[in-house]
Amino acid sequence: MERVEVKNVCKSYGKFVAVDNVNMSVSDGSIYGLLGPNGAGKSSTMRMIMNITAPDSGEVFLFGEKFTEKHKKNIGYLPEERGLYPKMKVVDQLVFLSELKGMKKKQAYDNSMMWLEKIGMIEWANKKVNELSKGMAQKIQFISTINHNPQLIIMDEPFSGLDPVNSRFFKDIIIDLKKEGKTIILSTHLMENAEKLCDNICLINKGKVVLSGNLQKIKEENSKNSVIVYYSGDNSKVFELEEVSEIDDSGNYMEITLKNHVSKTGFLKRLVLTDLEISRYESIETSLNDIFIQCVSGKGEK
Amino acid sequence: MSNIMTLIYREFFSKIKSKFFIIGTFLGPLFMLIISVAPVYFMKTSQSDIALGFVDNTGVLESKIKDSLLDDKKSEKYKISFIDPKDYISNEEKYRKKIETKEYFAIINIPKNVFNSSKFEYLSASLSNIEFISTISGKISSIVSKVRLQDYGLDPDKVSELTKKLNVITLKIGKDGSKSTEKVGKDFITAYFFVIILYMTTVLYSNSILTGVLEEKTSKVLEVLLSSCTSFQLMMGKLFGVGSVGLFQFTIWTILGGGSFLYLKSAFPEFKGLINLEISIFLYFILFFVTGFFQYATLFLAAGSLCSNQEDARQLATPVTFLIVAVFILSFNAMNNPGSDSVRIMSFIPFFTPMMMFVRITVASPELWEIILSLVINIVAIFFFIYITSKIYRVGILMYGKRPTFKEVINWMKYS
Repeated sequence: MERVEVKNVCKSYGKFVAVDNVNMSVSDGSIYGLLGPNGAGKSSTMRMIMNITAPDSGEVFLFGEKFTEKHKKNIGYLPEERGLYPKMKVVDQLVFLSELKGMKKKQAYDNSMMWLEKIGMIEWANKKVNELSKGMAQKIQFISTINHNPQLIIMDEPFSGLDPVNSRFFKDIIIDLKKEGKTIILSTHLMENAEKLCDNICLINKGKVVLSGNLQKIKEENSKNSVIVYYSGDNSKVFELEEVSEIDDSGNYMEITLKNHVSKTGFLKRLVLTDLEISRYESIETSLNDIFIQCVSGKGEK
Repeated sequence: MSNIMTLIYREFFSKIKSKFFIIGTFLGPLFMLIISVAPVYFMKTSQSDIALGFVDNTGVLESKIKDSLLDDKKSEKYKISFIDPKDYISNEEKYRKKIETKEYFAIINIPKNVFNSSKFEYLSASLSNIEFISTISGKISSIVSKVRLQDYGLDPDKVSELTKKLNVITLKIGKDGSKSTEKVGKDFITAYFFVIILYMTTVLYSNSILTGVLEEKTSKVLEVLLSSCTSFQLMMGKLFGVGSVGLFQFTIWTILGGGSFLYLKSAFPEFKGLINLEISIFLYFILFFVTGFFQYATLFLAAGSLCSNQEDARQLATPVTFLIVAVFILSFNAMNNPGSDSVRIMSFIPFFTPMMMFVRITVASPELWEIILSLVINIVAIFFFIYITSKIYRVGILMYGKRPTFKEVINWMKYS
């Protein structure tokens, strides 16, 4: 089932087109990454999924239905600009935000305490938010997004401004949530995180979808079929192999681009027969970062 | 609906737990009591210490001054001494020193020809106490007049009996044609008192809306809230939340004030006639607080949503603040002439109604249909304001940075 479907959504502010005909489809129980440079329209798209801002045109379907206000109860949202009431107590805040999501007070309180216990901040429950450190406030904000047990969680740049410890901590929670069958949409410009977490991605640049689909497939499609070989001895025989399309020889190692149909393992078998002294054989993976830069700088204009 | 209740609940409890509210609720009335009672109290006590020196050059007024100033049945007691005129003339420097050192609060020098010149001297280190000077001047005038009358062969007592001032009996005609013999001053005290509170609370609570919206905007909590509820729910939650804090405060004040009023009434019977308190006044007060609050608060709400920082918002809200102050001043004028056409017309205009109609109700007796009509007009206006404000608020709360121009705001209203 598709949990979130965004169809032909457009939004402009004055003359500035923030989101231009974006289509997205997020399947159940997956992590969906919305990637793109700053100002690409990620946040605007997210806001429109929850109707925080209404799209100029296009439609949003949640849980297989057209969006209505009641769907908000089943969404947890972590906006890019974090915000809590500064003078409100931590636990009151969590309970209040969960109550707004339609949760009963008692249940909301129990959940809040459970989470505070889990993140090791139980002794801060009755402190005001403005007494917390920034990292702590981030943690509270994070659990406020999931305290009401939503099926769909939307996080705008969840890792921005986090120290490595908290970043790791949030990543673990996100993976746990996925295991529980929750659907997660997150935006980030940190490709490293997206690469580790996401099942599917959607690359946005200047309001337009540049690339979307299964992350693994995208990486395979965008990989150049090439390997790096560290060697010693005579490599002249390698140039004669028919599988090779291009060699960039640096003396100690060479980068070999293979012809399209050739498998890297098959090529290794042939390479061994050339009597070359091989110290290391490595497949070159195109990182998401490369794809990202490639799309944004080149293909993005298409 | 449950979202609005949750928002109201949060707004209400976070406000009433604040120091500001607790101080305002309990120390506010105490403060008002002090500033209204203290001056009277201090004036009453300090007069017993006033040392007055009289220099009677005529030689005939001494006993009369004593009678007039000391045999006064009121609590005014002065330390009176008489200075020998010859001694005064030869040692004028000495007596002036005595005034400087506060040995004498004042020296009153009555010249020999006072009966012709009608002038006397009042020497004091402080001439700021105008009321006191006029009391003394009045007393000496009447003494001098009496002597003049006697010299003319008339009996002063007879003359004062014949020239006695008439007393006016003021009758207030109620709505049912009944008349009650109240003193005029009473209704004014009630009107003053309640209009001041009405003004203060309207300013206070509308401003609290402004800061509240800004707080939510600057702390960026709004976007989180918007993922749970609509901007309209947020707006209503804010208005009703803050409004109910106001009503809660009045409830406390009514209980405190009513309690002490009943106590004073039983402890000091003479207090009974001083303030005219009727239940209906309280009801009208609450009614007009609510109408006034919603009108001004929606404007402040819109102003708050358009700005990203305190300075901008204050600046934008200034015209609204001026409007409240203007209505407040006008309502004071209206107390003197509640029946005039201008007051009558203003009492039907939104923003003016709350204070104007309230003044009319306390001081004059407007027809019931007038009160109802004014309320209907105001309620329609409130719905209109809420409608307009909701459109501004909806766009405004997600805008940061530069304040939008007036033209842009008009566009928001058209499109959304």
